[in-house]
Amino acid sequence: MEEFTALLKELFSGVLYMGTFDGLKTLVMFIIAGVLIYLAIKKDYEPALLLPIAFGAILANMPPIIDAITGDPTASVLGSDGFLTVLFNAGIKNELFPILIFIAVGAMIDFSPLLKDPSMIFFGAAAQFGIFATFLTSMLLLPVVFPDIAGDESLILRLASAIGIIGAADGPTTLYVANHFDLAEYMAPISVAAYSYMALVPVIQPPIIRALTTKKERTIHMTYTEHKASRLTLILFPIVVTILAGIIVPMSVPLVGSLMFGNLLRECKVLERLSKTAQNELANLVTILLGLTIGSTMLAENFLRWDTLFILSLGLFAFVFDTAGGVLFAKFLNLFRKNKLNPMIGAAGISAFPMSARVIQKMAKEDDPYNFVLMQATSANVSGQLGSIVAGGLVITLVGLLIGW
Amino acid sequence: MLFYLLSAAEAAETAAVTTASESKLAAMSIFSKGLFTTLLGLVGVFLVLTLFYVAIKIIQRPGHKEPGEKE
Repeated sequence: MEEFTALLKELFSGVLYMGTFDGLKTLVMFIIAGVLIYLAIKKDYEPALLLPIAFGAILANMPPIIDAITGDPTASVLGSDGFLTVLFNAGIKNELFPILIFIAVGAMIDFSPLLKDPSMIFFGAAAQFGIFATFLTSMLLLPVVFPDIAGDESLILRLASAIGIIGAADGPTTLYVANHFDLAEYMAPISVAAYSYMALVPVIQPPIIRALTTKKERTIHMTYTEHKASRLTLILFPIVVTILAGIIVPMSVPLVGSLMFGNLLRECKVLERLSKTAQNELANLVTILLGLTIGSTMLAENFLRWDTLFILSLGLFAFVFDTAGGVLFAKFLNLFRKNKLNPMIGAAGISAFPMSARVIQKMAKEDDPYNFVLMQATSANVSGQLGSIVAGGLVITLVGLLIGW
Repeated sequence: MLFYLLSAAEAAETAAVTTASESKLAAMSIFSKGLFTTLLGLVGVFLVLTLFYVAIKIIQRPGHKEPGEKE
């Protein structure tokens, strides 16, 4: 009889689990995943990322199978041989997925608007202001909000770095930094914040830009010179940037190098098949795997905590300050320029490519249907991609130096 | 032999200087560490992107224009 009861318990362990407190937490995670799926399908917010993340979260939070004899939870998708654990170890733990994604992103990016107007590159630097402002803010707030980690200087600095990088709206770089600093326990809120804010660019950026600019400033027209960047320039650019980054910020090389390798595949014009593969098959495949794996980090025990809310809030703060940094930098430059810049393009200096540039163009058209700032905004946007990677590399180097990581 | 000895002495001296500066950095208060990272990070991003700007300007020299391309 006892054996029969044990067998029944094993058979219905999932049902029994749902009646416990942990089961309730699982239910909350299912609801969160449901909201993400709703945003992906109904609202079309980065569905390629949010949908796999949400489904990964559902898979990861399934009730464990309890062994009738030992009472231990056994293989689920997250067991030592579970496929999500295998994916995590193969793609996130060793930083492979972010690198592969960057090859795909590099193959998709056309740097010619930047090469036509290189001065736009400085917006890619200015819009990283939020990263460092948030780094400092989180560093000061973390010991106050979470006294249990107050004595752990290393954890505070590492966590503050990863939270700050969320502001760049650059998912792969955020993952890279978080992973480099061994923040697996915080990976879920950090990656969810990075990818959701990236998806919410059209919602988050416009009110900030409107608050910081007048209508007169938003209707400034910018001249655009129509000259082509030569093929040699387009080929030399990724090579030179990789070498320079390697010499100055070696920690950024895996990201800059893969981005630029992808771009070289695109621009060399003799590897059309590889370029298309990087842009389509590689991008799609890694996006699926990356999304599922990130979702698998959203375990109830790691996610339903106060620090998740803290990380999500500070991530938003970083994003807001990055946008503001770019706009204010453009306004600052206008103090000295004869040909005024439309300050909205500064906001495109974040790394959410090409969404941010499109948002800026849409806003420009709303105030003046004949205003065309897409090319300048795109230049700032691709610079933001470079800026966020460099910022990530610098944060890793500097914080690593301070804590001996 | 003398060369190796000199090199070893030089390496030891460099290592000592590096260790000393690293321990100085480690001894800073957490707030100073934060400010250090913030300031150097921001300046660093601007410097690196300025370097990229210069590199773009150099690779765009007139000599690198496509044959028949207008200025």
